[in-house]
Amino acid sequence: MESILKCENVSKYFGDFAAVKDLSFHVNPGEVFGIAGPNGAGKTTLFNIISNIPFPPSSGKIIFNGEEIQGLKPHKICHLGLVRTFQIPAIFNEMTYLENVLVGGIFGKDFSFYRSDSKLFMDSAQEAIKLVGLFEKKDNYPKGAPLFDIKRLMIASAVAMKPKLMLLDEPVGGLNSSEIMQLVDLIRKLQNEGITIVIIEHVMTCLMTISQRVMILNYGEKLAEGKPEEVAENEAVIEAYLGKEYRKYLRTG
Amino acid sequence: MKKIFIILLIPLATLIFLPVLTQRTYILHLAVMSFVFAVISQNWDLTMGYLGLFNFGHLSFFAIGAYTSGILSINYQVSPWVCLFIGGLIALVAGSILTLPTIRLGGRVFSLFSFSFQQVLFYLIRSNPMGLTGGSQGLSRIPPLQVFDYQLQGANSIPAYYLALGLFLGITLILYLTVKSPIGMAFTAIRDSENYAISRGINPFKYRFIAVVVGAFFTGIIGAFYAHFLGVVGPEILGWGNVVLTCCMVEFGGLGTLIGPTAAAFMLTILSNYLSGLEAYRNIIISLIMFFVLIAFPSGLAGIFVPIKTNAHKLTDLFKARNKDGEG
Amino acid sequence: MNIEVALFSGLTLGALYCLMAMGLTLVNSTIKFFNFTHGAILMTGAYFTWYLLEEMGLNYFASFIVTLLLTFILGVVVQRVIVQPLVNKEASGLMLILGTFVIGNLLENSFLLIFGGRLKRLPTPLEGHFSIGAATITYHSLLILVTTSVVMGGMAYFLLRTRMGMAMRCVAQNEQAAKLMGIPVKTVYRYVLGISSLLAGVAGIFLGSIYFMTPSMGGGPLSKAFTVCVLGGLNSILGTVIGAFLVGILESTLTLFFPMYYVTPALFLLMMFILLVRPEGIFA
Repeated sequence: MESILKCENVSKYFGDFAAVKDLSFHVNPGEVFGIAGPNGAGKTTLFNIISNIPFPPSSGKIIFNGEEIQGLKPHKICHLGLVRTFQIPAIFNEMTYLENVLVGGIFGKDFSFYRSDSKLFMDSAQEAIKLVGLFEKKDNYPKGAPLFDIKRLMIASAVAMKPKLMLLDEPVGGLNSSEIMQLVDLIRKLQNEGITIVIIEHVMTCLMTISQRVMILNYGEKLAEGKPEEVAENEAVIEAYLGKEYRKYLRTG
Repeated sequence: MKKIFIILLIPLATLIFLPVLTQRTYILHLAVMSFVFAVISQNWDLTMGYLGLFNFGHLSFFAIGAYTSGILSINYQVSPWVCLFIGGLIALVAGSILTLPTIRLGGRVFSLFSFSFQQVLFYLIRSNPMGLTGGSQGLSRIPPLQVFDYQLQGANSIPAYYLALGLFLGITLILYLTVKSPIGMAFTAIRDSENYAISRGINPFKYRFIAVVVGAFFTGIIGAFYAHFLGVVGPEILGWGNVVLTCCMVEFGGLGTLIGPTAAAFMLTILSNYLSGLEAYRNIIISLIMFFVLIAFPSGLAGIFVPIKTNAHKLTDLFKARNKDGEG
Repeated sequence: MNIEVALFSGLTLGALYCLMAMGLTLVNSTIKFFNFTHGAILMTGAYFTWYLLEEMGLNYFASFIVTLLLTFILGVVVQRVIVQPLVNKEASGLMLILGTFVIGNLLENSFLLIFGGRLKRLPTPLEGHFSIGAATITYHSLLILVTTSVVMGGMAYFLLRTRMGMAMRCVAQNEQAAKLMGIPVKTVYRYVLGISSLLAGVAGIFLGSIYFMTPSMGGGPLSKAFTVCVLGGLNSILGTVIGAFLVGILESTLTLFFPMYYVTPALFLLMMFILLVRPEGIFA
């Protein structure tokens, strides 16, 4: 099976400091690939260098759907179908919910000179906003909105871009347990639509249950990669990060 | 939204029938000046308001349009109509010169760069290279635009009035369509949160370029018209007084709307002329008004009617230089 | 006009530019915007001293000191009147530029009203000159150099050795962190603007005695100060000092060969070039 995303010996240096060091891994099409690791392990940096927002890798290759994308202009990477969300919720405060999602719909592929409310864009935007369950609030402004709304909006605008692969950076951070369950459901729905998902998460219950494969990073290097149960058994991982309780959880959950 | 169009019909009708309603050339002259400044402000708003980019050099485009048109028609006998277009074109080229090199370097660099560009242009004009620009005296006896037997110069020329009105309405319409289109959406997105806009597929450089260049083109055209309409033009159009006045119009009216700067242009042009006898007092009054509007309505007057938001993080966004391999 | 004289006047000019640009750098690195009242305040410095000297009959030294105080206060007033309200409304850097633009204009026109537009000249306390080799040096230029060094030294001491100075440096580097550590950012802003205005005032006093004084005298120096800042690095104090002297010497040597008319735009072109090639400034 040809992998949809492959990183070969990717590194990112800030001066002498290696945030990501000689990292290689691959993601299979249609799966949910989880990335975990202690704080500062380089997970968000990895997303940054893959999407080239705001910087590309210092070295190494990133291959998406057979094409090398490292260092490509970030909006071009989007147009190819690789879309990311941010850890710190990013939203356009000056637009309504629907308009936020519309932006993704309009600019997600190469731009064409249609009117911004043309049926084409409206349809995909409305689908996306319905998918995340925010259709009733579509004319609200994001000011003062609950975190759960904003996180879902970010995902909706990414979905409107009709991506092939989504990089989700800590999508459930700050949410309560009911919201976390709803978001896990949403991710499953996205997977059913055929979107490959790469997800960074600290909340291990979420990560381990929805991922088909998992990679653990520590100090910018790969500690382990494989099925969640295998990784949980990995001695080095347990030592560095997981702790024995999680192994127990996985046996029962 | 439809309400706005109905409300606008009344002033629009007034403007269309103005030469019928009044014979006083003073009023017609004021109207034409308002049209000119409205176009300047609207186009300046394209970069300042919609994109959040402080283009100090915007009036340079006006001057370039005016002087190019004047020089070509006086010295080389080019038809004034053609000069209008060429003026706009040269201004467009100037806009490209301003944006292309600085586009990756961030808003702060752009504002300083455009600032020095304007200074250089100002001194260049004043130093009268090759006797072309007339130095501090400026250009005079600029040939008027002509239609059949009508000379479109001066406020007693009714055709001139309608040409000005036509240009104003036409340019406003084009800008309106642009702003309502996905291009306008991209502008707002970039202004709001640039990295997020990039992550949604928007190329900020492309849209910065579009904003500056489109604004430059139209401002150049209206500058050329100004030169032919008055028949004279001098370096004071680039001077601080004019810059402050026009800046007021954009900010006073409301950054990020079209109707705000337009309305403000009319108000301030009329006010400025009304007070022109008072010299220093006039500037003080205008500055005081600006000051109070800034404090009370940082989003401008239009901000009362239409939601305009200014974001705190733009305090840093404007001044982040984008390095190629450092932090963005 | 020979090269030694040009060099020395370049030094003097550099000292003036240093004073002018330092205030801009201070404000830009801490509050992060371009202070457009700077030129106007420079002008007020000259006029304050003139008034105290001519109308109130104080001696030069006293006028100087009082002007320092007045311009400092003026800076604080600017901060309270326009900067803080806009910062509170979360205005963008653009708004602050516009706001200070307006206040500067207000100041210029008010002074125009009060003092009239006729050119004035500030007398210098030290007449006379002496010679070193082929160069003739006026005591006045020496005064400028010495005073600038003293003022700069005082500022350095302030920034490095006092608590408020340290607070300023913290705010310049990371305002959020500074807030979290209990630094009163508003007060820091006031001091920043006060000191930067004080520096502008001193520059104004000297400029007023070398050239003529008019209410709009601040515009040109403001633009030159920008050039210096860009050259030296908008956030670097040392860079600004070096940049100032570089520009001063460059300008005075260039005027040996070219008319002033071309030197000023040439400097701006240089600034544009630097902006493209090394936007952080040569010495950042």
